[in-house]
Order: sequence, then C-alpha cells, then structure tokens
Amino acid sequence: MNNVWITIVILIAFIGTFCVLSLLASRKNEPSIDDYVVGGRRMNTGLLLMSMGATYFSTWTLLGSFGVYFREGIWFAGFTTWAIIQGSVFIWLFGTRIWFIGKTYSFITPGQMVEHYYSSPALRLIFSLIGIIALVPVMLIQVTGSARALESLTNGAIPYVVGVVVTSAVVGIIVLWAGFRGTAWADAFMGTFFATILVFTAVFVIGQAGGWSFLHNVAKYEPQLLVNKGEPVAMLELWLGLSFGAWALPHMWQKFYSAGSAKVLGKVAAFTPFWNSWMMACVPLVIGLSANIPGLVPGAAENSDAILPLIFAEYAPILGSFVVAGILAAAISTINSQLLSSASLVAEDIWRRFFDSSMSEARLRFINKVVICMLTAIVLLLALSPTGTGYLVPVASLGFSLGLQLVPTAMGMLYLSWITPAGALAGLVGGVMTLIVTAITGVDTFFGPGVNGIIVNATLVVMVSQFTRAAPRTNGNDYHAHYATVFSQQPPQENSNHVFE
Amino acid sequence: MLLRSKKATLWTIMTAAIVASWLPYFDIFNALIWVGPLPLPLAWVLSANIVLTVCAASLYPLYFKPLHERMTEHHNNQVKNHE
Repeated sequence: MNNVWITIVILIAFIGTFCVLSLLASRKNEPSIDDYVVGGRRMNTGLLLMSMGATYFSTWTLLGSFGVYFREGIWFAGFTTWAIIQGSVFIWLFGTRIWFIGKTYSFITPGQMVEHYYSSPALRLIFSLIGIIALVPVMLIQVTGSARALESLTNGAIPYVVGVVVTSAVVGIIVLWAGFRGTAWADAFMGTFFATILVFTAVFVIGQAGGWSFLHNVAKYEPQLLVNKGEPVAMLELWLGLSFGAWALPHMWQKFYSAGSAKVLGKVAAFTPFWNSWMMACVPLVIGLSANIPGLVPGAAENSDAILPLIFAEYAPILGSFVVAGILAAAISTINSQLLSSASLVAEDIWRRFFDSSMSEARLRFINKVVICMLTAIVLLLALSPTGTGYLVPVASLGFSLGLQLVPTAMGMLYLSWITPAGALAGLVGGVMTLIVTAITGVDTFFGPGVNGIIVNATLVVMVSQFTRAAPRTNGNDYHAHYATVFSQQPPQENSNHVFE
Repeated sequence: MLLRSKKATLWTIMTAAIVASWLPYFDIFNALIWVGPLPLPLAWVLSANIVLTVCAASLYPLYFKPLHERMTEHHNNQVKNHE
C-alpha cells in the first residue's frame, strides 16, 4: 500500500472517529435552541478549556504561525504573550460579565444582548452582520489551509479541490448533526490530537537541530532572526487584532455563554496559558526557527506556510498521514464553532428578529440547520475561488480586525456606561468603513486597516455619545447596576432578580 | 495581606510583565547575548510569560472563587426568601 492510500485510510478512520464521538455526545442533546447553540449552559472545565483552545488555534497555528516564525524570527514571540492574556485575563475582564448577563436573560447570541442593553434593533442587526462577515475569512483559511496541506503532503495525489470539499462537508455534517455539545467534544478530541502531533514534532525537530543548543545552530545561519527586529506598531496591530478583537467575535462570545458556572470560567482562565501559550504558541516558535537550519526542512524557504507537512514528507512520510489528519482536526475544530455561531446569528438575530418574531423553537432549530447548509456552501465556493488562496495570516487578520470593531460597542455593555446607542452605532459603522476603505485601497498609513478602524471607531463613540441620549433603562437592562451588585464586594441587593446557580 | 492589596499587587505585577515583554521591540534587552540556550530577547519574553502565567493562575482564588461564592450565597438567600 503506498503512502497516498495510507493517508486516505487514516483520514477516513479519523473522520469516522470524530463523527462517532460527535454523535455520542449529541445523544445528550435536548430539543431546545439553548442546548443546540450554547450547550444548555452546562459546559464543564475540561470541555470548555479544550473547546476554546481548539477554536482559537487553528490551521493557522499548524501552518501560518510556523511560517511567521521562520520568516520573522523571535519578533513574533509577542504571540506567546498575547496568548496568555487573551486566554486568561480577558476571561475575567469580559467573559464573566458576558456569561453572567447571558445566563440571567437566557441569551444565545451577542446580538440579543446588544439590543436588550442599547434598545436598538439597528445596532443589533449591524453587530450581528459584522460578526458573521468577520467569521467568513477565518472559516475560509481553515478550509484552504487544510486542503493545501493535504495536496502538499501527498504531492498532489489528493488535489486541493478534494481537500476543500472533504473539509467543508465534514464540518457541515458534524455541526448539523451534533450542535454545540457535539462540536465541543469533537474540539476536545481534535485539540488533543493535534497537540500530540505538535509535541512529537517539536521533540523530533529539536533532536535533529542539535538538541537544546538548537538556537545556537540557527544563529550560525540566520543570527538576525534571534534578535527582535523592532516594528512595535506592527506587533501592536497583531495584538489588538488577534487578541483584543478575538473575544468579541460571536463564536468566542457564545463559548462564554456556555460555561456551567463562574468557577468553570475561572478554571479555564487558570489553565488556558499552558495550552494557549506554552503549547500552541511556543511549539511553532521552536519548529519555525529550527527550519532555518539549512537542509533540516527542504523546501521551507519556498513554502514556509507548509513547514510541518514538509518535515513529515522528508523524515516520516508514513506518519505524515497523521499530520494531515492533525491539520484537518485543527481546521474542523475552529470552523465548526464559527459555523454554528454564524448560523445562530442569521437565524436568531436576523430571521427571527426581523422577519418571524413568533417563530417556534423547533422552527428556529430548523432554520439554524438550513443556514448551516447555506454557509457551508458559501465557504466551499469561496475556497474554490482565486481569492480563497494566498498567505494565511493577512486573511485571518482581516476577520479579527472586523472583530476588533465590535469591541467599543461591547465595552458599553460591560464597563463604559456612558456609551449611548447612537455613539456605538456611529463608531461601529465608521470603524468598519475605515477598515474596508484602507484595506481595499491599500493606502499607506501609519497603522494598518484594523487599527485605523478602531481609532475612528473609538473617536466616534466618544464624540457622538457626548451629544446623544443613553438608552432607556426600563426593561431590567441596567447591566452596570447588576455588575455593581454581583462583581463588587458589597452584599447583594435584596430586590435583585438575577438568575443564579 | 488584605484581599484588596493582593489584587493591587497582582495587577501591578501583570502590567509590569506586559510592559517588560515589549522592551525588546524598543531595542532594550535585544542583543544577541546567550542566556543558557536562549538568546536574550527570547529569554526576556519567556520570563515575562512565566510571571504572567502565575498571575493568570492567581486570578482563580482572587476573583473567580469569591464571585462564585457570592453568587451561590445570593442564590441560597433568594431560595430561602421564596420559601
């Protein structure tokens, strides 16, 4: 049996395993939209930790980040720091408040919270639309990345088109079938799988590169990669986009909704740095830098986004099948949450809210499933188009930059009570327009499109909020009073009507 | 140490570690000097990360656990009042 057939057999076995796992997990599903979209708000620590980690880290971790370390050296080590902050501090600062409000009012989408707090259907619509649009490029890179790796590792025997179709179809089926709980279990399985591959590869590469002094060997050939090249503005842009924008994206927001308790969120925050930074950010650093040693990874200079498949193609073609499966795992574990989230936004925030407010839960679940099929088809078509290819990081950054534009509106609900509905709306529209214009025209500014957008966004929020009215606080939507009661050290007020558990 | 002081200390250390992790971007601690197997700028960033990891773990006893206890207590009071 040749390597291509071994790869195909392993992929089929792998896909079969997580389909079965998702099916078994989905047997615990209850027939409610709450259960389908946010897992009934009963996620435990292990499942949420793995699901959040596997969702945040994707094919970009297994492909793009190796390439960035290879090209940019330790300049990119800032990635290891923001992975800690994003995964722990932000869970406390933002996640607990989102979780608390979501549980209190049984929200399943971010848009519901936006409309309830700001009393603005228009703001909800735009917030949701931007969330959906932000997820598309990130979903797209998962599909294109895994398909490209599949093609590379099999020397073209499994073409890009087949990889794209397989990835899209598997994701669509799993999400359709299993809902949030099933995808979370699939995430946990796949996260463990690709983490194992990363550790195995790092140990192997360090051995090949000269043991613990491997960086000395790198320094012989590319010493400039072992000092920081500067460019703090570029790193700041990445920090803001990939870290500060990530928590506001709808699929991460809904992960916060899904937590079983504050303790669960706390344990996730405590353990996430080990997973996000020390595992997912440091391992690519080791491998990406080592690949600069001549002869260690043939072909790395020509195709630095495929260092991991190239390593296995060179040293262990048979085990390379597991790398392809790992890349597929990384793609699926990210895209499944994004697909489920996007579908729930279309179904709940657009369809039910604006076209059929009396829709039953059963019909809402059905609409969710229809939208999942539609979005899967859209991603598939985009991945097959020429714009679906190219370097991975810039495409993903566009999605995260859009997520960044959601932050000021979210901050109004979480901390900044002076932000008015008109201010949030003006900022959101102005920020996104600025992002799009600077990205399309490629105009040379001091900052990139994402930061330009957030600067305009924040400025408009501040200015417009000075001259416009706050949202009425008549329907229990004074979130800041709720926070003062629960998050401060003061004893809770007797007339509070929160839902606690 | 009072809880408030512990929290203030935590955020001070965390802020300092974040600022420290940025110094190599401004050419501070950025020479190719070896600290064991690591070049100085990388050793510096990883040291900041170790501090941040400890701080992240400290969030649980200082923030999440008390929050959970307050919410449970409040929930129990509500149940009692309802009965």
